[in-house]
This record gives sequence, C-alpha cells and structure tokens, in this order.
Amino acid sequence: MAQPNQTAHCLYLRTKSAYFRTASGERIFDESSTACYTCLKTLRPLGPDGMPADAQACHGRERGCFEEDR
Amino acid sequence: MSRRVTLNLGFEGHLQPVTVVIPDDEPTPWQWGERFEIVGKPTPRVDGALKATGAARYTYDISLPGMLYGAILRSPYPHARIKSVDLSRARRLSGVRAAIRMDDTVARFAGQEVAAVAAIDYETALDALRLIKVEYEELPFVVDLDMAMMPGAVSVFENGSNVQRPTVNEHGDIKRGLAAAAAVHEAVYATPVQTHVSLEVHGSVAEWDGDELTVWSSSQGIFTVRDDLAVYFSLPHNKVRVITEYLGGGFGSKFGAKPETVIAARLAREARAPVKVMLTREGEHLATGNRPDSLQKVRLGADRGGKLTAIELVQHGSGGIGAGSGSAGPFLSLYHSPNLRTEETNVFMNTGPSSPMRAPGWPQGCFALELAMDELARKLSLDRLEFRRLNNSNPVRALEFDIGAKLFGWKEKSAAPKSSGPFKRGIGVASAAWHALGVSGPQAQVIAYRDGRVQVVIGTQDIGTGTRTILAMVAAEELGVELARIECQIGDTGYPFSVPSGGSMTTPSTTPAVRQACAHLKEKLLRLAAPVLGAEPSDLEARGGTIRVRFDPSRKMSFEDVCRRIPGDSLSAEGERVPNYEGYRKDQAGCQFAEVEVDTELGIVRVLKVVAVHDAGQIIDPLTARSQVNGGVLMGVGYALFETRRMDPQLGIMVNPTMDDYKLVGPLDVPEIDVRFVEVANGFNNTGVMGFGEPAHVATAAAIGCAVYDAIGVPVRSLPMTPDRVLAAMETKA
Repeated sequence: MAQPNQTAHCLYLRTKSAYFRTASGERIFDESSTACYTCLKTLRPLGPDGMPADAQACHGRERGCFEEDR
Repeated sequence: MSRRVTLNLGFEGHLQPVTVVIPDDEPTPWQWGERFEIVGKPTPRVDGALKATGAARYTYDISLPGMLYGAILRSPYPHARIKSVDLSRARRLSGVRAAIRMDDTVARFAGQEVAAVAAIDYETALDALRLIKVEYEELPFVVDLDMAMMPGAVSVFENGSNVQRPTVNEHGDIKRGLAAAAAVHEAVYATPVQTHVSLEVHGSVAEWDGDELTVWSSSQGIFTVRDDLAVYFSLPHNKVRVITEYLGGGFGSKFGAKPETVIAARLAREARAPVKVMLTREGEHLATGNRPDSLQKVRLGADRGGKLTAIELVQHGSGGIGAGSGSAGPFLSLYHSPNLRTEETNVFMNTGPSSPMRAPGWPQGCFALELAMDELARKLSLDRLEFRRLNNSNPVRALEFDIGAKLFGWKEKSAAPKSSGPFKRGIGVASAAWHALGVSGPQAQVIAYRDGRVQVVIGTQDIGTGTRTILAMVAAEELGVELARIECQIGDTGYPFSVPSGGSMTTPSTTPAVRQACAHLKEKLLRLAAPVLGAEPSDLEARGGTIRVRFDPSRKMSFEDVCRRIPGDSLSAEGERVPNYEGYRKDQAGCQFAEVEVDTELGIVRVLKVVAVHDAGQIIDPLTARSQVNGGVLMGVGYALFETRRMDPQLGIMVNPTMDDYKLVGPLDVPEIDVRFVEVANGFNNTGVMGFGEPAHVATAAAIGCAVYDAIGVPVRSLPMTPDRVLAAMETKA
C-alpha cells in the first residue's frame, strides 16, 4: 500500500485500505489507482449528491454531503 | 519498554544479522533455522472433516426460528431515472412481511438494487417482486470502454466526463530512455472484466432484538461489517454483532456491509423477524464487484545488452460506475529501468461497480508487461528468462528464477524443436510481487483449562485459506503441545478484534497476536510448574507436550499435569499484534513458468504445466500454503483462457451472468502444478510470516500468454485467449 493520507475523510467513505488502520488508529486512504470507493450512505460508488465518491472528493466540508468522521 | 534482539534476516546464502527493537512483552521472533515441532510440517486442516461432511456452518446454512426469506428487485436498465416505486401490491400478497425500496433516484447499471421484499418463503418473495411496480425513464447508456472514452459519450454521472483524472508515476526521462534503446517494442494489450465467482454467494441473515442487531454474514471482515452497520443504522458498535463461522470465498468482494446485508437488516427491522438474503448467481455477477478491464498501451526500450532503458504504460480501464481500474503495479516494481512512466485512467461506464479482486490491478498489468517483455526479447534475440534476469529488481526472485528454471526444464524445453504437426507447444515465464507484511491491531486471547484443553479466541475469519489450522499450529508450537489440544474460536465480533481477511493480511496479522498471547500464557504455566520441578520459571521450556527443565529435560511434567494445578477453572492470557519491526524487504518475490499446447487448427489452448516459485516468509503449514498457490494458479488459468463478462451493447446488460455461460476452469483444464517456496527471513513480526494469497495469482495468466506466444510465434494480446482470438492472431502471422 502507498503512504497513507491521514487527513479527515467523510464518515461514509469506504475503500479496502480504509478498513485497516495505521498504528496510531487512523483509517488508511492510500488513494491508489486500484482503490474502489463506496459511499456507505448510498451503498454505491457515488455520494448522495449523485457524484463519484473518492478520497479526494469526499475530503473536507466543501462537498455538501460531507459528514465528519466521529 | 522495549528490548533489542538480533535476527538473521535474508534468505539462503544472503543472511545478515540485523538488530531490531521489539516491545518487552513480545516473544523473541522465530529465527532463521529455528527447529520447530509443528510449524512448517504439512498439516491437514483441523476443520477439513467438518467441511467435507457438511457440518461446517456457512451463512447459507443459517436458519433461525421464524426466519423470513428476502429477494431483491434489480434494475433491468443500464441507465434509467427511477420515477416511482410502488410496493403496495407486493405488500398485500399473502406471506409477505416487509417491502422496502432503495433510496436511489437513478439506476446506473443493469442489476442495481431497486427494491426488496421479505416473505415466509423464497418463492413467495419472488412472486412479490413481480408485483412491485417501478416507473423508469430510460436514459442513454454506455457499456463499452472505447465508446465511454469518446468525445461526446453518454455521461454516467450528470455533467461529468467518464474519463477520470489520470494517476501518473514517473522517474527519469522516458523520451531519452526510448531514444537510447537499441530496440523498442510498442503494442496495446487488453484484459477483460473478471468476476469473483465465490462458491458461496454474498448474503446475510439479520435479526433484531430491540435495538441490538445480530448479522450472520458471508463476509471476509466481520468487524468491518459490524462497523459499517453501526454507522449505517446510527448504532453504538456494541449493539451490533456479526458472525461468520465459515465463508465460501470472497477474493476481495466481501469487505464491508454491502447492499444485500443492509437490505437484510432493513427488512428484518420492518418485519420484526429475522431475514435471510442470499444472492442469486446472477445477482452475484451483476452487482457484487469485479476485476476491471483494461486497455494498456505499452512501450519498452532496451539496449543491445538487454538492459531496459524505458518502461512506459498508458492505461485505461473501467470499474463500471466505480473506480480502481489501475494496473501499473507490475510496471513500477518487477523490473528496473532508469526511465519509467505510467499513466492510469479510470473510465466510468454503465456497468456494475468494481471491487477489490485478488491482487487488484496486478494480473492485468503483469499480462501486458510480461508479454511485451517477450516481444522485446525476441527483437533483441535474447533468451526470455535471461532478459528478465538482467532487469530483475529483487534478489530473492533471482534465486527463484534459478529454482524454477531447473524444476521446469527451461533450458531443455527452450532447445526442443517445435512440432511440425498441428499441436504446438510453448513455454513462458513471468514475475510476481506483492507486499503483505500484515498490520497491527489484532488481539487474541488464549485459555488453558484444567483438563488440558487450550482455546484460541480471536475475531478473525477464515476466507477459506485454513485460518483455524494456522492459528492452532502457532499456538501448539508456542505452548509445546500437540495440535489436537488446541481449539480455535473465530468468526464472531464478540471475540477480540481482528482485521479483515484481505490484502493477504490474515496470517501475518493474526499469528503474531496469537503467538504473543500463547507466550504470555506459557509464562503463567511455567510459574505453576516451577515449584514442582524445583527450578526457576526462566529455566523451563514447553516442548513435546511437557514443561521441562531446559538443561535437564528428564525433569518434566506433562502439560495436562501442569493444567491440573490451575487454581480455578482456567488460566488465560492476551496478546496483540504490535506494529511491524524494521525487517529485510517489504516486497515479496515470485515467478511462474507455464507450458502450453495449442491446437493450431481449432485455436484451443491447453495449459500442461505450471511451476510456481514464491517466497512467503515463514511457511506455517506447507499444505494450506500450497493450496493457496494452487488456487491462485487455477484462477489465473481461468483469467487467461476463459473468463470474461460479456455485455450486450444494444441492451446494456450482461449476457453471461450464470455459471453455465460465464466460463470457468473445469477439472479437465487443471494443469500439473508444481509449487516451491523459498524461505525468506523477513523479520517484520514474531512469526516471520508474510501472506501470499495474492502473489500466487499475479503471474499465471502472463506466463500462459507468453507460452502461447512461444507456441504459435505470434502474440495474442487480448485476454481471454479464446480459440477465435488464437486463430485470428495466427492469421495475422500468415
């Protein structure tokens, strides 16, 4: 896996690497070209706004459907 | 608190002492050349009889009192607006207990879940599906990679391009590298969409008790399903329990709470009864994920001596409405070149979303790179194996090339004259790599009972690779007892945490936690035995079913006698998987050799033999290890010759979503498979284990592709290498 990006991603964003955590407990979003993303809210690879879910788009409050990871 | 230990790391002939820092309560890592009593010896699966007799309980087997059966209505259209969903007639059908619709307003692929019902039996549920009235507004769609990339193509997502931003990796100067080459090869390679085809389909049984949810799930990550369900239903994590006693495969597609699991839980909540939703094989093919396809434009350059001067990949692939089609992994790591550039672009189309599949991206990339390597080797008049040796990036693989070539008879087969008849034989070789070091996080509990039984408890799951056997062997080794004394409890989130079984992470992540727990338990048992044996605990060891004085093994107690001195009913200890130490190499090497026979009149390819040479750190059980390689090779044969998702471009639907029409490897297609392991002391954890479920699959299709090229003298650059493609390739030669 590539180096993890440990900044805040949406509570609902899922990808294989993010099911693992770093030694300090962060979800791992490696932004690999093989990463398959899913939004847990829609159960699809797209968010509630109908646009694709991925580590870049589902990061930060700019996206209206973003929800902070608790 | 930590301590320093010196480990001999590397592999035969290349060992070097390395000092690593490990936590104080971590057992001293198993060393190169360690004398084991159980580990490393071929051991049949401890649950083999349960599986063979049908006593092992899979999710499919779960049946609860009052359980209802769920069924899912799927979109027949590849792209449509869902204007309304009327469940009223379905709800009124006798025997129907719940009906729900999904939240989507647009269906983006044929097979997308639209609604679901739960009824007293599956047939009633199917009847109810027919009564659901859905008003669709059909929309334009695209299900072909080339068409999805065209300017003006139908957009899968509103107002967005189907072609995503590329991922670029580069070093050196690719133009300079190509200019410096004595020979350049350029070609486009294509690989198909492959589906996972797990023997057990996706599915779950969900049961609510007030606000507590229990789910039996065909999952490769019980804790990830638990966490997903907790988030989805806004529940505290301790209100969700997930159980996977046995699992009929997943290959990457069963990580979290997928739609069918959420559907089962929603239906169960509405019906106030447990609900079982197991997918049909068609649903499995359409909606649970796949390996994306690829079009890979490859340019390689090499100097006269055979050293690569340039590696370039421009790749497009589609994960349907999902992402993740990259294939550059092998280009970035198998062979060294001073100039390298890869560009990977995912393209959306109206087909089911991709999901991780056994070494995501690697079999695709390996096929393109390795066949291109062969084509360039031919231009340079170099032996193909020698060409790879010259550019190989991993010293372990260099040894594996030697072992494999000898075992396979590369030199002899290369020198053998080609048949003048219609059946042509050919040979090929391809490299594999992976990075399965394992991760921290898993915890284990080990309990010794007064009657001498030992229980290992850990919330992992067996994806089918023999997890119970592996963990029992590690525990038996550490405690110095026979394997039959160990019972493994896994597959329940009520047990200590573990990570999902994916990324070849299970064995390297779980065995160190179990071993640490056993080491802690052993300390307690030694303290019980010490006064009886008149020795200090530090002078005792556990071996051969006894606890004995290390320098006088005649002074000993049987393990059972020690357990009888447990003051209560049992004695337990915990262990955890600590973060990886600084080890030897973070990559794992491998290579595979293949021999094929091609019927040049009919275009039929038969794979005769595969020699697979892999390293995996410390092998715990050579039998289950070999079984994983066999599985990886067979999946690779299917990928090379048979498997492909076929889409109807007019209707936008998959036309082969059944086991009849989606061609898989059958018994008569199985080649002779010879597996060899190269023991590598990697030193990342206390058992020295690395995973290899995935690297075993990386090189197979590539090696077969190279062998077919050798047999017929012309490359078949598209997978699967079906008879029509083989014959078409031969026509181009003619």
